[in-house]
Amino acid sequence: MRSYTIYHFKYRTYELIAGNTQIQVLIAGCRSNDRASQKELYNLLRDYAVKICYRYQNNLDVVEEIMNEGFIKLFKNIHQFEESRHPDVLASLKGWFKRILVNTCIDHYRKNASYINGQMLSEDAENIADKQETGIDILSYKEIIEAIRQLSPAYRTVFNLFVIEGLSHEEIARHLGISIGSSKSNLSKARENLRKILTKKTDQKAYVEPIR
Amino acid sequence: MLNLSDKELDRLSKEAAQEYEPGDVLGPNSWEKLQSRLDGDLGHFNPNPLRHIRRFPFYYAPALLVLLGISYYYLTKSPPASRNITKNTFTNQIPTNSVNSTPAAQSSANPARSAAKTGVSGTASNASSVAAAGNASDASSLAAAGNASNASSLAAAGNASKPSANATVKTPSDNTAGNARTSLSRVRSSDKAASPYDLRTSGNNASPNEVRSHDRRSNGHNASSNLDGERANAQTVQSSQYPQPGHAAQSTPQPREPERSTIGGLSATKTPADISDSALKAFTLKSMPPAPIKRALYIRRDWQFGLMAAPDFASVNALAGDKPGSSVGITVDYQFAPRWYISSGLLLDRRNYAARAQDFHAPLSYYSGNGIDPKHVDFVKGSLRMLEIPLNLRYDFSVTGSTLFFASAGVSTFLLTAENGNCYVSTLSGREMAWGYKQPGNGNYLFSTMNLSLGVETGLSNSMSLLIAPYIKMPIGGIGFGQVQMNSVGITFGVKWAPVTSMRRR
Repeated sequence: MRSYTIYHFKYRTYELIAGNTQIQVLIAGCRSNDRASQKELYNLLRDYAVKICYRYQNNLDVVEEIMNEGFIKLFKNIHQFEESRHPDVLASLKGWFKRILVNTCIDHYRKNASYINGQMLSEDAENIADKQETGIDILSYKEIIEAIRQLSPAYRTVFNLFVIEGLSHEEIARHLGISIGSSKSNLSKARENLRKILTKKTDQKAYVEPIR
Repeated sequence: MLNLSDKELDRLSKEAAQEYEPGDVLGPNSWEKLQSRLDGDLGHFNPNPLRHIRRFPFYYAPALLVLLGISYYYLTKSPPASRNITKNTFTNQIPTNSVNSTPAAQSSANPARSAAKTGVSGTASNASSVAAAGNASDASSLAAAGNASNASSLAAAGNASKPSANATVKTPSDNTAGNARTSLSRVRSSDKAASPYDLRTSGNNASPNEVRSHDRRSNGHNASSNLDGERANAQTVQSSQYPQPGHAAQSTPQPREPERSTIGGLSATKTPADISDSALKAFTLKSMPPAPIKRALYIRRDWQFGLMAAPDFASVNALAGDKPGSSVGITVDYQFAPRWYISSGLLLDRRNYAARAQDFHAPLSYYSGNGIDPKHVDFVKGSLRMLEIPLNLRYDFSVTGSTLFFASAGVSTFLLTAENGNCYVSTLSGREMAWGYKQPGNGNYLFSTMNLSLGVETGLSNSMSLLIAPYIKMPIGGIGFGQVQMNSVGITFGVKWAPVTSMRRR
């Protein structure tokens, strides 16, 4: 058992070193504006970037726009990234890239949707249930994410920053240029609206389930 | 409504955010869209190695510096023509103080000289007035420049075989003679032995040295006087540049040092313009007490210690690295002969290189150990950290004021401290993979590069100087893991300190 643990540790270490080397090569290529390296890094981080941006926008075109903006920022500023800070270079790079993406989302919100203080639920909110979902879970992750995306931009942004990114109301207020009270109010309304959306979803599922 | 507390809702949302993967929601052309934006924002990627052409000025820097140094050398060494003109103009304006002239003679000499300069003095009275002024050379110049109808003037000035005008002692009454012939006859009948400034070609009364010296100058002067009035004028001007007291210089004149003539120009320095200066010297030697002998203070600064830094651009077979390296360290120079130094030091080098597969000779075990087919290696990028110990010979080929230009050549020894890099291999699927290599420094490369450098050093103070020197380092042997033969160019910026090593009077 012990030998297996040592072997496993060695194997993991080897994997980590090999992965780090590959990431470092890609980073070095991106620093020299090497398109092949940039494409490689893009393919490596694209799903991760989509996952983040997807929560902040309900329009896929805007998601792509924000994501591309984030990648351009990444490639432009990659010389500032210090790969020696963390033993796992990829994790470190992802953390750094996440900050870039979240800030890009915030910038986009402030530029385009900051005038919207709140928004009532749209009619689309009733159609968020995934008809193809066959699991017994009352709420799937996808439904929750889609519900979050159905929130108004102000509520969605505050909810994402507070609940998922873990920012405080003070930080949110500073980033979005709103008061702390507005941040708290938006968060409260976001939760309330989210519950409404999810309730409709579960009701619909409850109605569907007996038929199965 | 769903009965979820805030905490539960937050937890579920957080989990969903972490776990949910939206999938490929962007479509297959997402990279192309980003690439078009990257082309606009970051510029096109050009794999051509010649993209580093912007570094080529560093290759040309030594040639440019040589050109600059040569230009500077000639500009400072050769006197410009305008300088002569200025000097002549200036000396024309000062009162003529010829050897034997009195103030009255001077007053008559100036207009005559100015007439000679303009070439309009055509009468015998002009020539005689000049001769009466006591400067026979002036008279000959005037005759040459002026009217050839005056036979006596021509004879005095132009014919070297005949006794020419003699600038010997004349009384003020001589200066008032009415014509040139009278003046010249008086000159001829005067005491030739007492004339130290005889312009004749046969100076048998003068000392041998003086004769030789003045004959040579006199001949040249007379010939030039006949041919060119301007030259005669120049000679005239030169003879008047040393103000003298009115008394005659009767002692034996000493040969003059050529550099004592302060007027620039070849014709001016070789003409017999030193007459008055010799008189001055004789006067000084007689009347002045000998100066106390001072022993010169000799200060030696044989050693120079310096700090230097240089950007370093390495290339392997004309393929340049991605980014510049650096070279920082200390230097020591020892001057073993005038203008010659031997220099060494300890430099910390960092070189970034890129090499093609054929220039990278890694051990075969590296390829076999990593499963790499050496034929599929495209290129290698690496970084070297080394200690460099140069050993150079330096020669200062131009020293002007506090600025000097130098050339240096030598060899360098490298002690490798660390090396890492990546070997880029194209796979069968078309993807390019990178295999890293890293090794601690354990290689010593004795005399593996040859150094050539040209530079300029300018003094900041007596002991401090600033140095700028482009350099090129050419490989003699391979360096590093891949035994790459690396060229390197850069520009050294340095500060040097030369302490006083000895100080004594001789």
